[in-house]
Amino acid sequence: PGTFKDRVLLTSYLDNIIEGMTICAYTVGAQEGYIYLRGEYIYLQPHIEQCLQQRRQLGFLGKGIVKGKISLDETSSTSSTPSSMSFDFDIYLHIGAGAYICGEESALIESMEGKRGIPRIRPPYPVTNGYLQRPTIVNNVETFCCITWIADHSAEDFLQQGSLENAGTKLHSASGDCTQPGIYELPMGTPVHHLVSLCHSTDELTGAQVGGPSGRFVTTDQFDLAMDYNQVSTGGSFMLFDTSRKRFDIIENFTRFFQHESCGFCTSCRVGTTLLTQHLEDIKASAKPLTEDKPRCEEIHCLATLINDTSHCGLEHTAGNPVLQYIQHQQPSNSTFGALSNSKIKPIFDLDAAQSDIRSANTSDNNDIA
Amino acid sequence: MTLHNTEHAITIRSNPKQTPSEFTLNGKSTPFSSGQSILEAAINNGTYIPHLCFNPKVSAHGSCRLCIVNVNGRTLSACTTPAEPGLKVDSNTDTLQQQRLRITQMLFIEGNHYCPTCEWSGNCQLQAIAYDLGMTNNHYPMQYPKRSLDASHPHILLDQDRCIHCGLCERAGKELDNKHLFALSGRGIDSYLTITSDDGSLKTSTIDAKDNAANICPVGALLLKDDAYHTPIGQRLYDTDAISVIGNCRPEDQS
Repeated sequence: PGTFKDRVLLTSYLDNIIEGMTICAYTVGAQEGYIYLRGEYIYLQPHIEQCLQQRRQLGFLGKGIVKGKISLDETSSTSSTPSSMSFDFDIYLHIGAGAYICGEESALIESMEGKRGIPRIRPPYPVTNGYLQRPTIVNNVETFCCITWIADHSAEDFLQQGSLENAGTKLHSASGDCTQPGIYELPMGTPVHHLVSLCHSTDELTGAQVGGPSGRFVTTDQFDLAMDYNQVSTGGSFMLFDTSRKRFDIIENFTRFFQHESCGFCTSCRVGTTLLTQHLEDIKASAKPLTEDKPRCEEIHCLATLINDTSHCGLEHTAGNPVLQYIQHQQPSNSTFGALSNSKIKPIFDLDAAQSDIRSANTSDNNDIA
Repeated sequence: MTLHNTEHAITIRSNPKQTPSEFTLNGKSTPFSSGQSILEAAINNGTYIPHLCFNPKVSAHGSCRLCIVNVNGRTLSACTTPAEPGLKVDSNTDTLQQQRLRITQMLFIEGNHYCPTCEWSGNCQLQAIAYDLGMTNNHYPMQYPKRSLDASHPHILLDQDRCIHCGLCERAGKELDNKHLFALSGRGIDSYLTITSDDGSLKTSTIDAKDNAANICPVGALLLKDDAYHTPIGQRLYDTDAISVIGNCRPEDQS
């Protein structure tokens, strides 16, 4: 959610992607490449097929691809064509059916094999046992564009941006409460506030969700943080929220997303995300904000932590993040938080207070929420 | 928790020709053979780790999440993690036991588990683990899902109220009986077991009461008919012995 840079790359920079895949194939000795296109992007199929066919006709895909720099009019061709310098590689398009979990590399491979998109048991890893148990590399299309750029320029040029540990540039899909949403290519390690000013956010921001629902809600006081592999890691999703947005609605949306996208393989995530979503629905329906409901707050904290710690895959190691960060950021005095969905109704009877005696007398498990 | 009765419980996949290596389990040096998972090595050496979706006769799944252990600081399922020399594994910390309790409670509230009338009560591994973990209530709200019951087959019953999505019937069919009898399908909380047959019912599938798949369910979901309530309460598998003592097994293993 919030990432659309890949769609732009597939639409407008497809040759860069395919070139990167071809360079990669030559490097690792692969003969088959696949573009896994998420189901929602099926409208791109004709465009991709056309581009692949065009490159086949030009000799850039298929049998006997020639290594070296070739321009279309061949005047600056630096390669000769002995067979020792040519290799075979072709790319096929595979279309998914619209499951977020199929973006995970092993679930993606399972999906390509016609099976349910469920992350595999690791080890073994895809590099040794991947697609059809063959050695497979799985990379994002942005990475393949970088490969093309580096091959065309140099590694040293790439290292001019960012730092040694966080090299090169990163694409960010910026959206939300700003007047200049879009794709921004920035050096790795760019602080959050810089991208915020580039996309002309409104003055009154609550924060930025960096890295999608699995990522981090960076509050305005933390906008100095750098977007790189260490401080605030991101796949490119960048969403701005101003003070008109309720933080609770945001985390409810994200938590519901994780429940909807759960593959259902493991108990912790399958049941855990369902329970978490139900909790948030209850909070929304009640007149009591989470800040005043300590038992429920502790309960959803435990639940989110359980999902994060005990699930089978990396996706669900972060499914509890929106809720956990929300609880962390709870400020009783801040009216942006809390979940008074219907503030006109104030009950004169406090159900929780009335039940508190019987609850504490009931069982040893004092986390029971009736 | 030590495992007393190992003979009938486990056939461990191991290669005696390999040089055994060792890892640390709960501070104790534990040998393993190449290819074994942490769970297999632990059970082989008398340390019980709660589990439901693991059975030594078929490949590991890693779905129930009960066998979670701490491996060098990370929480992983013991059945899918290969034993390696030098690993530092903790399997019975308070946190892990608490997490296992919550996961067991999740399994109970996810389906419709009515122990008092269930034919498998007393033999049920889910029930036995719940007792072993000290479960006294559901903790989470019951979900009351709408699940199906298939009594079409003359000898086998499938009550999906009780299915815990362990996939053992699916794997046993494929790997032991050479039949694609079952498949877990759907996504998320709406996942369910499907039957490979013309009309999706057990009656027209190729399952037989003698198949491994029909005799591997750890709970009372896939049952043989005409086999209920034969054993008096008090003499059932887990009536007097905890599952952490006698392990995950079936009544027929005892005879």
